[in-house]
Amino acid sequence: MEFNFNSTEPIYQQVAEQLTEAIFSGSFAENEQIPSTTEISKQFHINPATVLKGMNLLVAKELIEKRRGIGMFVKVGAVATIEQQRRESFYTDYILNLVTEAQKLGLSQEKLIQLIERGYQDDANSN
Amino acid sequence: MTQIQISNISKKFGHHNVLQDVSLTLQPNTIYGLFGRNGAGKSTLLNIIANRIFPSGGAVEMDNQSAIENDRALANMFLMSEIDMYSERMKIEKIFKQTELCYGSFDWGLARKLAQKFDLKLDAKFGGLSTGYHSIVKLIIGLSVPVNFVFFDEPVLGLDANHRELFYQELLQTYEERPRTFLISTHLIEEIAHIVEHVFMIDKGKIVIDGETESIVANSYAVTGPKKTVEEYTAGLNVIGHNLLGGLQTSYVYGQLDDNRIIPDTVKLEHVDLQKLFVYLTNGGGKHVEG
Amino acid sequence: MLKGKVSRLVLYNFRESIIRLMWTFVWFIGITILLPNLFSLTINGLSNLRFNLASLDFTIVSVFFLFADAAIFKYDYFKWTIQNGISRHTAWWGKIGGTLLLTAVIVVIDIVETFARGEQLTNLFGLAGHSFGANVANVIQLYIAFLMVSVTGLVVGYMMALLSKRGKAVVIIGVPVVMIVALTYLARALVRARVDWNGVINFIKVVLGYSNQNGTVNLLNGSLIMIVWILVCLGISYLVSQKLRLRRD
Repeated sequence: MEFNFNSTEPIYQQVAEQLTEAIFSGSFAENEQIPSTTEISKQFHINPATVLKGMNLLVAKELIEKRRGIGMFVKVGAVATIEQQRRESFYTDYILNLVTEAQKLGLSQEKLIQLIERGYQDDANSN
Repeated sequence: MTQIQISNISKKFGHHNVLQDVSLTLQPNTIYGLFGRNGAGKSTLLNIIANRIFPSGGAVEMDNQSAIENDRALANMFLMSEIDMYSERMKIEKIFKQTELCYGSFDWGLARKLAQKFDLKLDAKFGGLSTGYHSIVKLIIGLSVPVNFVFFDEPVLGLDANHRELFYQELLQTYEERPRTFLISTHLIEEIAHIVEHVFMIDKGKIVIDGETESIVANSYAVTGPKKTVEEYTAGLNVIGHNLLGGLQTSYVYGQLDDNRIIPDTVKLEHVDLQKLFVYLTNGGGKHVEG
Repeated sequence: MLKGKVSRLVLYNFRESIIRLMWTFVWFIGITILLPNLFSLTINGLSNLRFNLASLDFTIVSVFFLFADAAIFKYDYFKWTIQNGISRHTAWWGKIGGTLLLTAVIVVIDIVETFARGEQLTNLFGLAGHSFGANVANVIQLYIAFLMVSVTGLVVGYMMALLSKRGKAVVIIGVPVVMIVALTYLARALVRARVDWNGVINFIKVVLGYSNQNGTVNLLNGSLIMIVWILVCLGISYLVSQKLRLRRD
């Protein structure tokens, strides 16, 4: 596992994001234990309270769960949950920004749809 | 829970005001950062808290009792400083034993483990060690004494990158195992920016920032864009520094932005990290804002 | 718990002093016996070697040690105690306790040496030729006399601890010079002024308990003066120790 931190976003959010990414990519499999706060804290020089805050964010999102006396585990179905959440935020994160940028550049709705189709074609060709 | 309260501390050396009206509180089980440039008054402040020198004015209290010449308070704190307080002729193991004698107990398990990890020979004489190993001996003692307040003044002085890494890891490990308060004074902010929960920045003997690391970063902004637009947008805000590259200006703001102002299209807004904030705040510009 | 701290410090200080005393003895024996013998060995060969420990006066060395041990390293002691979370007054009590014990040891050394010479306790070194009738009183008197030496050392030590390195150098060189000059000047001035000393001498006699009829000194008076001196020294050393602070030199 490799964390890349920038120093301007709140660290606990970055911890949560990086862990989510690791779960989504399968680095931490469902029903498996994730590293403890101490381990993450020691390895990346982050205050354990900050790490815990990030983890609690994931607990709230039902991606991980605490098993008493053992540690934090990836919940069964976590990958599906992440996918679900990402789909929900896809519209606000990508589509809205895409439309705003297109309008700034004076691209029409038609042109934008054309561009999206081209993107799909290129992707299909490159694979 | 035990806390340390420092109120209105001032210190004069001759006519020079080294500290002016410094007040701060140290809560239990928290890692604090004390950041300041060389000569800002960090060591003086720590020396006053640990009773090594006397303040010209103000009070140091532990649980509402003066900590000055107070054995119970003193036995609950440890200051590791640049000045070597131990006898040069003494062997490391004897220094540990003496520390145990005075503090009543000593975590020999941790001390031995750390000595091994840092490759420190316990039968070496203190005076025969390098600056880096002087720091290491003092760090090990600081982590092994049974106190609730540990003050590290430039803890990584003379330590190479590997040893610094090791120190931060061991610090966090022992902090998890036995939570207590650490106050780390340094001018190397980047390395411990994520370790400290709460930051004090001191400049020319005054506290200029006292706040949670997260909220400090959340309250500091880099505003980048055309010079004129940036200046208009940041007018009246607490601008602590500028960068000008051709017509492109970055202004660094510490404190609340004006929510009523619309962020211009051509302006980019980012947060600033502690190190940059520190550089601009202690470069002479900016007003004082409590975080 | 704090009481425990003082007693731990007392024992620690005592033990360290005893170790230093033993080293002093080792050096003393080395210089007074081994060194001459070494010279003798190189010049005369094996014929003239002498090893006579009884000829050495350990008491006088001990008394010098008593003063020196009290007068040096007080700043290092302060640094060490404050680093270890010990207040100035607790450190002072710890030092005083150690000094009281060490002084008792020196008394024992004097007694042992006196007996070893086959002499009576009335000939104890520290009594300087004046003794009480009862030996218990003699020993007490001896203890007080030695204690006076050690607490005087403490005052010097704590005062020096206040000074910076440069200040210390100035005092160590300056004080003797000033004293010599001042004494010379004073002596000359007094000779010229032809002061009537009788008043002063009588006063000193009264203070010391001198009796004109049988030409003896009342030792009790001397002891009282020493006790007052000890108390004053303790007071001064305590006050000075409270002023100690970390220096930047």
